[in-house]
Amino acid sequence: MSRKLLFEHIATPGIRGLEGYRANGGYRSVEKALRTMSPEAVLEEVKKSGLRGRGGAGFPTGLKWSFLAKPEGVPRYLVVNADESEPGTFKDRYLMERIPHMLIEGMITSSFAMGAHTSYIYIRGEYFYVARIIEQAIAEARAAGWLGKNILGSGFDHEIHVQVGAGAYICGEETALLESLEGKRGNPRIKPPFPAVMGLYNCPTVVNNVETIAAVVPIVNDGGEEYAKIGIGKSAGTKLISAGGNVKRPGVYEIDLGITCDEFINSDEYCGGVEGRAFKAVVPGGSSVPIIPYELFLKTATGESRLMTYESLADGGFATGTMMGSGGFYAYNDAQCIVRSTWNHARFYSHESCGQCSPCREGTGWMEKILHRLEHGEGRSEDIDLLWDVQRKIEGNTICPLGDAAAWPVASAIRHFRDEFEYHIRFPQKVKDPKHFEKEPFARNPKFATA
Amino acid sequence: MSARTRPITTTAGTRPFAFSEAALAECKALMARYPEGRSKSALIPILHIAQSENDGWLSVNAMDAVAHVMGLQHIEVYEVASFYSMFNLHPVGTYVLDVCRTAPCMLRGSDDLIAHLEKKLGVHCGETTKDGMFTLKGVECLGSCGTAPMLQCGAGYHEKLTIESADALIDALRARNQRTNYTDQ
Amino acid sequence: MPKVTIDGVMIEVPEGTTILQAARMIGERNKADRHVVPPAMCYYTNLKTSGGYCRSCLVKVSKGSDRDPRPMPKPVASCRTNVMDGMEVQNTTSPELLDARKGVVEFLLINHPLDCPICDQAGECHLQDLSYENGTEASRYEFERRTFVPIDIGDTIKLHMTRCILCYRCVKVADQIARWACAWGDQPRRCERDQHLHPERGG
Repeated sequence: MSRKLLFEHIATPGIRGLEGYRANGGYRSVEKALRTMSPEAVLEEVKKSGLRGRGGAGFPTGLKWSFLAKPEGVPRYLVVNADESEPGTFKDRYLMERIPHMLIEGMITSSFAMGAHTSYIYIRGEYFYVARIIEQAIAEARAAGWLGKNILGSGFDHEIHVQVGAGAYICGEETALLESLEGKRGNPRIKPPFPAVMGLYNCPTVVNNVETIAAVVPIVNDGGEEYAKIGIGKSAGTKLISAGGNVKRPGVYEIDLGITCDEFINSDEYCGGVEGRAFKAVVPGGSSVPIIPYELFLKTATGESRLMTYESLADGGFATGTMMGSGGFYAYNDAQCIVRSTWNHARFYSHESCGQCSPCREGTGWMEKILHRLEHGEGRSEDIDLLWDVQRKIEGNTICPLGDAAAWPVASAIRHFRDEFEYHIRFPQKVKDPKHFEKEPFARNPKFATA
Repeated sequence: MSARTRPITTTAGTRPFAFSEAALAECKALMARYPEGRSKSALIPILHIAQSENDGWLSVNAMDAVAHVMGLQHIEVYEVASFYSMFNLHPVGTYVLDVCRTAPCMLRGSDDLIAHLEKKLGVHCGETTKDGMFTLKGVECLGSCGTAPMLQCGAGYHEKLTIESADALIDALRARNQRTNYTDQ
Repeated sequence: MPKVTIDGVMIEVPEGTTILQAARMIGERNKADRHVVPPAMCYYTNLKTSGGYCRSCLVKVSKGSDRDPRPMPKPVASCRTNVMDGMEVQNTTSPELLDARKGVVEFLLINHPLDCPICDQAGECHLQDLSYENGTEASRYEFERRTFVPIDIGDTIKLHMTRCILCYRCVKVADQIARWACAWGDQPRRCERDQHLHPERGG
């Protein structure tokens, strides 16, 4: 049974309002930090906790904060990334919808550590109704003195604004998000300079995911060391995983990092196994991470049990491993077609490419067209190698990570399911029916089992 | 798709547009909340307001009005409006049905849902029904993968859809016949 | 002043010099060393913040600097990356890089009409040169190319977006030199979307 640090009170009636939140220990971290701690001490706790960015990259949060430049007379900003658009991910929406004050509390405490007097929540436009919930929570918090001037008589001022986007996956990339927040197209910036030096309005800025900021609350309340006791090694604490696809019990789960993948996908506490059929493949961290066969998800290539940690999921590199990513977990049953899903992914990245740099702008569209041809029974024998070469030439050659994110799902699908691609070329008539594997699941050829 | 693409200034309509008093006040308030000289940050929120006041889409006149209110060059508005997928640059129906089609939804049956809606409404994705009631859009992941398949209409998420519940939704919307916007409270 | 080595040729350059500029200095210093100069399409010396988009000037940094000798994990845009003291860069000496560049050239051309024989620009076209020097003989792209209706943008300029490779140089020229109020244009977020440059005369 995993501990609940973020979700301890998620089902408590009235938790969405300030009164209910406060009655269940809400805003204690603000009291503790502002009354008894220095900003440096808060940063120290976050460092000790081993918390890593929960948005996907997994960069140590304390380290990120410590990079924040502090020139005299220049404001600093905290920007919360609530753009949550990685396919498969819906944990932040769940958190913001049900327990909005936790995000606000985390923002006040974190901003205190950074010396930021204004912070923004950049929330994707489709979550307009969630933005309303947060705005209401901010109004409550302001009325109760948790926001505004001289909070708790500490001399610390803070204001939070909610900014809505308008539909663009790329705005989840931190520099594109900042561009969008400045009222421009969401084109990622060329780094360096990094946001910690030149971010929002050219001022030092920290951009953190919703879950990361919420995790600061228990870290400050109970101390970084307590938090670091949960998990294994560099994967400390709890993580929200949003589970979808063909699992029996989709939903958002808070897990201790370090439980086995088998437990997560099969136990009734979490996903509860597969609905009706057999599992075929898993995407454990959002559509950008490599897809792996179910067997490789359960056990690493060396036969060890795979764990839900950053390191274990990545064990074996891209040959046999994958990534934790944002925790957007989805599983495929044996009725699903990997080629169709890969085409779907490619269409997504082609649609969401910002168009700024050429490998991504042109390459994502090209991959989509080749995969469309394959999936619709018009594939050619050279298509698989062509696809492999195109993804290879996108990866690593773009301004921002979207290029990599577009290449990895294609590469991993070919790496692990090449036989299925070949089947599409060999039997074009059979794949004309979009549900070609529903009646007769694709039987994997052991010769292609893993790369 | 093979048609040659035209610039938005030649396609995005010519009917007049003016902000309501209330909306104008909201725009001013939005612009005032950013640091001095940074009011351009309000552009996306204000475009949402303009779209809601212009029957769910942004005409050139609506965008020009935004530019005027914000003191921006027209092109600064066009380039932003054309980037974000929630801004419609062509007229839309009373209801815009944003049906999620991305992989996690696909695994739970969004292909079937979209096929059904296309048949029921007699349009393809991206088109508006002849009576002007519904615009069907296939959109990318809306962050509702655990409750898939789903669609968004205005500010509301309609989740765990089945063919039956989607039909019921369409019928209810048609009976109500009242525009929904993303900005609805 | 930082010293940088590109394809084995060393030069000392002023602080803040980009890898591309350093390579060009080497090429000017000695014609025999011109092979160290990466090609560039979207970068233009006189324009601020130009470059970084087309990726044809990518180079491999095999040593970051004397202080931090780790190689950079990915190829970098030489036009937007400053040299560090002790940096070692590979341009033509890295086969993987040349392969990546071939890919970039192919990407730039997949939606560009291949009608050089009837094009007025042929013969003095940077894209044509880039393709001859760094590309492959034939494209593997067989799908329909995107096309656009040409637009008159004033008395003297007609815009053919069909030929555009989105280097953004015209946008920056208009903005910084011609002083038009001209931003990114409503250029595509994705390829099939409304795509054109729409400058207006302004302050």
